[in-house]
Amino acid sequence: MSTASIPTVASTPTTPTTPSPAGTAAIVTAEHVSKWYGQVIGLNDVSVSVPPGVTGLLGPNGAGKSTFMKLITGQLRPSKGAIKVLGEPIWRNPKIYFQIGFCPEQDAFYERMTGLEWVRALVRLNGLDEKAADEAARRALASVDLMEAAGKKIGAYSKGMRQRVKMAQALVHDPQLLILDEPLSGMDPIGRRRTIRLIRDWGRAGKSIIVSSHILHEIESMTSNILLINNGRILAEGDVHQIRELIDEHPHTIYVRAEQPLRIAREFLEKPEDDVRSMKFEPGAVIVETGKPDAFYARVTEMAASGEFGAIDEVTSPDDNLQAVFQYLVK
Amino acid sequence: MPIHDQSYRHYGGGRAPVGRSWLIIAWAGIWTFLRKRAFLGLLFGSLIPFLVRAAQFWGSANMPQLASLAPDASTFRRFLEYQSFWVFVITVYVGAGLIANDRRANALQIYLSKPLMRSEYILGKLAVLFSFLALVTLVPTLLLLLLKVAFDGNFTFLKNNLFLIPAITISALLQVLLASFTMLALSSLSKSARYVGILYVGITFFTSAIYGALYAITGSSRVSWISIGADLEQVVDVIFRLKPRYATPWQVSLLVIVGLIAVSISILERRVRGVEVVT
Amino acid sequence: MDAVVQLDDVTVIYGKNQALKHVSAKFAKGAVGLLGPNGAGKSTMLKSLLGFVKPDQGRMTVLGLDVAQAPLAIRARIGYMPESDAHIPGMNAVTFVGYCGQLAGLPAADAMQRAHEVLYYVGLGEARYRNVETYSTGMKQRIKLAQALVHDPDLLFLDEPTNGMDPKGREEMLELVRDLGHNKGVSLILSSHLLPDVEYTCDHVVVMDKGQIATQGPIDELKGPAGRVYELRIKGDLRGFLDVLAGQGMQTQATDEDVMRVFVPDTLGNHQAIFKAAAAFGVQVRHLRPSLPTLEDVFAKAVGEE
Repeated sequence: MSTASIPTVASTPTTPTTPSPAGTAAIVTAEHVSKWYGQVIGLNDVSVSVPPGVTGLLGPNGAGKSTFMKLITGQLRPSKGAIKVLGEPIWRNPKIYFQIGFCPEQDAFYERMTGLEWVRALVRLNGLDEKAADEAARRALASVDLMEAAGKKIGAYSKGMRQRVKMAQALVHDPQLLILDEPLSGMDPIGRRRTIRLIRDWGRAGKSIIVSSHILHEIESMTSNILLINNGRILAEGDVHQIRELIDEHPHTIYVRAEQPLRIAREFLEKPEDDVRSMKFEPGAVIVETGKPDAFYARVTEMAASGEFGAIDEVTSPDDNLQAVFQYLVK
Repeated sequence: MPIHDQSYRHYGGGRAPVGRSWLIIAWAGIWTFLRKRAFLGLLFGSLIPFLVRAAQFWGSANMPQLASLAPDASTFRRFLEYQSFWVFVITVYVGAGLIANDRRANALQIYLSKPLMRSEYILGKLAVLFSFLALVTLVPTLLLLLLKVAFDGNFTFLKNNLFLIPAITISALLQVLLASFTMLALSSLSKSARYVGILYVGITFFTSAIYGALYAITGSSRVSWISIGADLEQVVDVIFRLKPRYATPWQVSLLVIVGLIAVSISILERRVRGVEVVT
Repeated sequence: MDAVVQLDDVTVIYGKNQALKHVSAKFAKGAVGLLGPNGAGKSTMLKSLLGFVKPDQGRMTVLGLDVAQAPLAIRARIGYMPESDAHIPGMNAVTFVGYCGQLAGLPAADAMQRAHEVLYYVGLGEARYRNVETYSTGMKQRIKLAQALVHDPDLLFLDEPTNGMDPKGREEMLELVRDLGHNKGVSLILSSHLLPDVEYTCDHVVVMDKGQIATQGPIDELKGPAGRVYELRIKGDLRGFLDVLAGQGMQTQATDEDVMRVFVPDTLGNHQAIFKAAAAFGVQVRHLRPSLPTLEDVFAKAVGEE
C-alpha cells in the first residue's frame, strides 16, 4: 500500500486528536457577527463554526479574543449578526447558561469565604439543593486538587490556588461547554501539567472546551485544533498542521540529522518531484526547504527504512508548529 | 569597526555615592507641581497677602498719614496666622497624592529596589511639601521683617524685637512640620489621593467642630487641645510672647503637636517597607 | 565556579513558618533559572537578597558583597524587574527611565542618555515620549525591563518577564533576555513557571521546594542522557500504524498528543525499526527524535511528582 490517501478536511482528522464526541454539530456558530464599541470595532463580520472537542483560541492582544469570548458567554450582545451556542442563541438565554462553564481571566472573589463555601454558593445559583450542591462542589474541588485547602479562606490562597478555584466553579455544574481564559496563569509547572491533562481528559470524555492563551506550546499540548483571530477577524481555523501546509509562501523547513548528510542531500536533489527549494548544511545535518512536504517526508521515510544512504537519526521540522503558524500569519 | 553595534552597551561613566537620592526624589516632586499652571496660580495667590503687607510697611514708613499702619511684633504673628489658610490648601493639593499615587502605581517596588534607604524616600517626599509650605510661611514672614528694616532705613525695630527672628522661624517650622508629617502619613495609608485629601480635611474640621461643640456646652476653652488648629495657634501665641487665647496650658497643646508628629513618623515607618515590595 | 550569588546555610522564619530552611545555593555567572512551586520560598529568597528581609541565620553574598553589610552597594549593581505592574506616576517613558537611572547613581545627563538607548533596545524607541500610563501590557513589561537595565547592572533579577504578553511579545522578550544573558555579559536570575522559557534563556537552574533547594545545576547535566525512547509524529492512518508498532513489540505512549513516544526494545535494534515499519505500512514520518527528558521532567522529579 502506498501513501494512504489523504482524507479531506471535513471527515476524520489526519493527526491524533480527540475522538469525536457525541454528535459533530458545531458547539458555537457565529454568522456575520460584528461588535463595536462606539468607534472602536471589536469584531468585524466574523463567521465561524467551532467544532466539538478542545479548541485553542489565539491572537495578539487587542485582536478581538476577549470580545469573542464575551459574546459567546452572553455577556455582550452582537451589534450585528447572530451567535448560537450549543444550537441556541445565547443572549439573555439563562437556560443555556447551565450548560456553560466560564473561567475568566480576572480574579473577583469574596475573599472571606472559604473555597468550598464559594463554589457551593455558585453552584446553588444553578438550582441545586444544599446536599447536591455540597457534593458537586466537593467533586469539583477534588478534580482540581484543592480539597486540602477547601476549608481555608480564599484571601489566603496563592495565585495558583485562586486559579484552581476559578476552574472549579466553572465545571462544578458539569457543563457541556467550558470556556477558559488563560486558565494556567499563575500556576506552577506541576499545576500547569495537571491542568493540561485535565483539559485533555475532559475533551476525551465528550466535553467541549474553548481555551484562550498566549502560551502557544501549552495550547499545542492540549489540542491541535485552533481558532486564530487578528484585527477583529478570523485569520485561520482548524488543525495546526493542515493550516501550516496551506501557507505557501513559507515552504516547509525540515531538519534531517544523518550519518552522511551530503549523500542524502544528493539524493534529494536528484528527485525534482520532491520540490527542494533550498538546502543548508550543519555539522551532521542537512536542512531542506521543500514545497511538497508529503512527497518529501515519504521519501525520507523510505530512505531511512532502506538504510541505503546511511543511518538517518532525526527528522524534525522547526516550523511545523503553532509558533511558526502564528508568526507567519500574524504580521 | 565600520559597523557599530546598535544594541545594548555597557556604561563606563561615574556613579554617585549613595545618600543623594532624597534630593532627586524631592526635585522630581517639586518639578511635577511647578509645571502645573493652576498650582503656580495658587502659589501666586498665597503671596498676595505678603505683597499687601509689604505695601503697608512701605506706606507707613514713607507717608505720615499712613503711620497707623506701622507694624509691631503682633503684626507678624497675625500674618503667620493668616497664611495658615494657604498652608491648608497647599498641603491638601500637594500632599494628598505624594505617597498615595505611588502606592496606586506600585512605585514603591521600583523605588525600594534602587540603592536608597527608606528614610531617603520619606525625606525626599517630605521635602516636596516642606519646600512649598516654607515658601508661603517662613520665607515671606522673614522677608517682611527684612523689608521693615529696609523701609525704615534703620535697625531700631529689629533691635527692639530681636526675638522675632527665632519666633518666626520656630513657629513657621512647627506649622510646616506638623502639616507635612501628618499629611505624608495619611498619604501613605491609601492608594487614592482623593480619599487622603478628604480624610485630611475631614479630620481637621472634625476636631475643630468637636471643640466648638464642647466649648458651647461647657463654656470653657480648657478642652481646646482637641482641635489641632487651636493647638497650633496656642503654641505660636506663646512663642510670640502674646497672651494665649485658650485656657488650656500651652504645654498640653505642644504635647499634642509633638505627639501627632511622632505618630506620623511611626506610621510612615510602618507603611514604607520593602517586605511588601516583593510578592 | 564563579558564583554571582551565594547563600550559606540561610534560614528565614516568618512567625511559625520557616520560609527558608538552611538553604545553601550557588547561582553561577550567566543565566540561571529559579524554579519552584508556589510557596517554595522563591520570593522570600529574592526579598532577602534585595536586603528587605534579614535572615535569622546564615550568610548571603551578591557579586562578592555581603548582603547584611552592604545592601545599598548591592542594589546599585543589580536590576530588578518586578512581576506586577509598577511605574512612577505622572512621567513619560524617557523621564521615568532617566529618573530610575539617577536614583541608581548616574549623573542626570548620563541617565538621560542611557534611558534613550535602553528604551530603543527593549523596543520602545518610538513610544518613549508617551506617558507610561497609556502603555499596553506588552509595553509595560518592556519598560520594567528598561528601568532595570538603565544603570548597566551586573546582575538582573527577572520575575515572570513575559507576564500577560501576546506570543509575538513573548518571543521578543525572551530574545532580549537571551541576548542579555548570552551575548552581553549580564548575569541573570530568571524566576518563572514557564519552563520552556527558562530552557530557552538559561543554562543553569535552581529548583526550590518547601523552603529548601530541591536540586541545582546545569540544565544539560540535570537532564541526563537520552534513552531508547523516541518522539514520533506521523501523517497517515494512525490507528493502523499503532497496531503495527504494537505488533512488532514497540510500546507507545501519549498517542493522542501531537507527538507521541515510542519505546524501541533492544531486540529490534534502533530507531531504524520505526522508519522501516512506517515505510512498509505507507505512512510518512513527520517527526522523529530521541526523546530527551525535558526541564519539566527534571522539575517534577525534583519536587517529588510522578
